[in-house]
Amino acid sequence: MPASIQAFFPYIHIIIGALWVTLSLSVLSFALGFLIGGALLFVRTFSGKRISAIVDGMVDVLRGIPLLVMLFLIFYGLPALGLQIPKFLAAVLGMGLLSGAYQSQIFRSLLQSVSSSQYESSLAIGLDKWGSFRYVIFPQVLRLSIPALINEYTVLLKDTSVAYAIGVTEMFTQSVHVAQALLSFTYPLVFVSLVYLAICFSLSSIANSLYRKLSYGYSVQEYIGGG
Amino acid sequence: MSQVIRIEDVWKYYDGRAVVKGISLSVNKNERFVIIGPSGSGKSTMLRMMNMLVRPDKGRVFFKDVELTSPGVNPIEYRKKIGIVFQHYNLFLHMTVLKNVMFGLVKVKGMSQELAKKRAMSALESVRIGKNLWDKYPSQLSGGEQQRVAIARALAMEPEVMLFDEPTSALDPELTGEVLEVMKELARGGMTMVVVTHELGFAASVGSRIAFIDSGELVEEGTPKEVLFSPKKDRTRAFLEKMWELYKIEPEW
Repeated sequence: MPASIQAFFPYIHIIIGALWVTLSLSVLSFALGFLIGGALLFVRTFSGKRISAIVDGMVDVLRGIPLLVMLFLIFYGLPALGLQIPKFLAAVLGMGLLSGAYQSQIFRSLLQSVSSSQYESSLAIGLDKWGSFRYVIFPQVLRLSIPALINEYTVLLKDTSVAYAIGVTEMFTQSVHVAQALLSFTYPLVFVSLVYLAICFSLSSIANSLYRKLSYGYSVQEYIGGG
Repeated sequence: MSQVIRIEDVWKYYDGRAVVKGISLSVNKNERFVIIGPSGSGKSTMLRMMNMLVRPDKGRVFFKDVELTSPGVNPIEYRKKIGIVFQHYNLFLHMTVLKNVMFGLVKVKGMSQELAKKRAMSALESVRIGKNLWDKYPSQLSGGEQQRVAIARALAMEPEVMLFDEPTSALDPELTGEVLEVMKELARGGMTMVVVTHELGFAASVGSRIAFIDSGELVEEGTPKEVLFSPKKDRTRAFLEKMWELYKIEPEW
């Protein structure tokens, strides 16, 4: 006998109360991924073929690791090496590392749309490599990347639910707790899905409307991404 | 006459193939040095060696008395004194016209925003880019307008020499005219210029010296009259015959 929807209402605030954990987990891991992706872009822009190949290899390895396995490796695997990381931080690290790999792929695909002549003309004007990257290359790659980055964020937001497995009390974890208290999974899970959907859907709409605007004047192939 | 740029026996290899084969030449102050030659002859590569955008594999490059190829010299310091204009304009696509011209002044020369703005405005006016275009982005401009902004961007840095890499090759004839007009004005103002071009009319009327380059070699060098109208080498002659034919002009030989 499923619990009635009225019985579920009093529990809603418990699920919503954990939304900030979900949001901070996703924002922090996105930020970490952004830093990693940006650093890899810099390395790829300015280093020779050999180092670029090493970077590509690292990215491929990271992309080949399932998120759940990554979280277990960090949370349960690292203590064996004497490194115990709190669960929230472990989740940020694991998600951030994987997102860094994906974000570097986004940047990489769009770096090709920013023609090398942009780099050449910034050097010609008297800037050094770092100045060219900072003022000319990166702003353009970033601008073109915004829609794909928003989509990458929505993937991360949903992936926070995997942190349940290492005991982070984010929104999905709380919905499961509510379900256990109610002895019914239906309403809590439908509800939590609607919350994810509402956030992701609005972000995706923004991303889609920005895409055309931001890529004006560039030859951009749409980045086909996602986790 | 004082020498602004000199290259000495420069070589460049791509994938083991030599594209520039031991070219030496020097450009004097106030001179308009025009380089002609078939596509793929190494002209652009050679031009880019003059500001070390391309580092020669062999040979030496001088800017005035400074050897840019010397290991102790950082070419970045000298690039700001050597302006370059590219075939495809290469304006910074994420910046407005005005910002494009101000950019080097602020970030490279460390000028204040105000002063840079003033300088940029006068540079834009000198290439006849009106106020109505200053806040537009490069993609909103015609090719001719973009190229004139690119010239203003280089000019604003107050270079001692300007390099032009086929500045009109991507433009239709009408727009070519407005860009060449700006370049002629520069020449009249005494700017030292090195121009790679297929515009033989421009070469003849503006050039003070012409070099013909083919398959990475300097074939012939002299005044426009010598090189364009009485070439000594067969290779120059063959190239010019084809070009004159294109222009429907009968050669005098």
